[in-house]
Amino acid sequence: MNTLEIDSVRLSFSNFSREQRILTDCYLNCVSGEIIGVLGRNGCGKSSLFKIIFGSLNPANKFIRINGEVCSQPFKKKLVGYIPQVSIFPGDFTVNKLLKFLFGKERLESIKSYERIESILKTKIRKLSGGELKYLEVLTMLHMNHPFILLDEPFSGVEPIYQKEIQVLLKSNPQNKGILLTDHNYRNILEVSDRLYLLREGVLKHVTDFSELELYGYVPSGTFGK
Amino acid sequence: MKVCLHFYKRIFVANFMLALLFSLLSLPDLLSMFKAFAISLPTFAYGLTIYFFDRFKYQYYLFNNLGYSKKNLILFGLLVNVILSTLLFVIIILTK
Repeated sequence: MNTLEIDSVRLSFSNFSREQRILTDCYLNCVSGEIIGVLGRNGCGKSSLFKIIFGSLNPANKFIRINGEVCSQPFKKKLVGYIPQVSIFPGDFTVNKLLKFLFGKERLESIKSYERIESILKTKIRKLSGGELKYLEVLTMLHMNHPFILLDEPFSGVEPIYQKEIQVLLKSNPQNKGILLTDHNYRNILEVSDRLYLLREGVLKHVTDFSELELYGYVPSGTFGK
Repeated sequence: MKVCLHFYKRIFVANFMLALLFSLLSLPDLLSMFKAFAISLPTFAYGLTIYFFDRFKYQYYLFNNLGYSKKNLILFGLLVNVILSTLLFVIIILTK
């Protein structure tokens, strides 16, 4: 079983003479097979937190440990995969060419067998709909070799049918990865997550009951029917 | 290697065109033009290409997910360009 631990993450941006603190002291842990949802308001630092875990953003302080080993840039050892909000795939590639590039011929067949993928194999990435693209991104990330993956807004701009498909995909988690995901479409996050965190005022708060989301002002009061 | 080559392929056309543009400054002397092309390929043209590629920062995430950092990729591209540039200079000297 793989374990990921993030601790003492501190990030701030200087805005002329003013220092704006984004993350003050975050702690998070995740193990194989677990899906962790991270919620938070716009600009609270969710994407920055994911970039820090991935290793592409260096904050003032961070402590990331994977399987007991301290890693400053986990992506270099292919320990963490990351899908940001916008597409990272080359638009001029067809889906088939992309899958061949990422997985080689040996592993290609198992991915091609997904019904949703079969029908878009010859389509260029730039011609895919928002839902198809997000589905492809999540699917490829689930099949790559990273033990942990970070998904930034996988449900954003996606039609309800594809949202459900992505949920099913995440729950199937074929390689038993540890998954961290965030989205403003919080209902989807609540559906798939085993554990939930709320990023508020730079601190990650563990949410044990949905009503806490109302208490912290993330959702309007009465959302969860009390 | 395959991943690094893919990165180089993505930047090559822009890099080549910019080097060609720099070399046109030495027209009509053909030899000077070749020299300018060979010099600018790993220097000004490459620097500008990387600058423009950087504008689409998200493209690096694909390579990062495959275990390659931006620094590694830029160094690889520079190495290939230096090799190409050296070969061009060898050809220029041999054909003199």
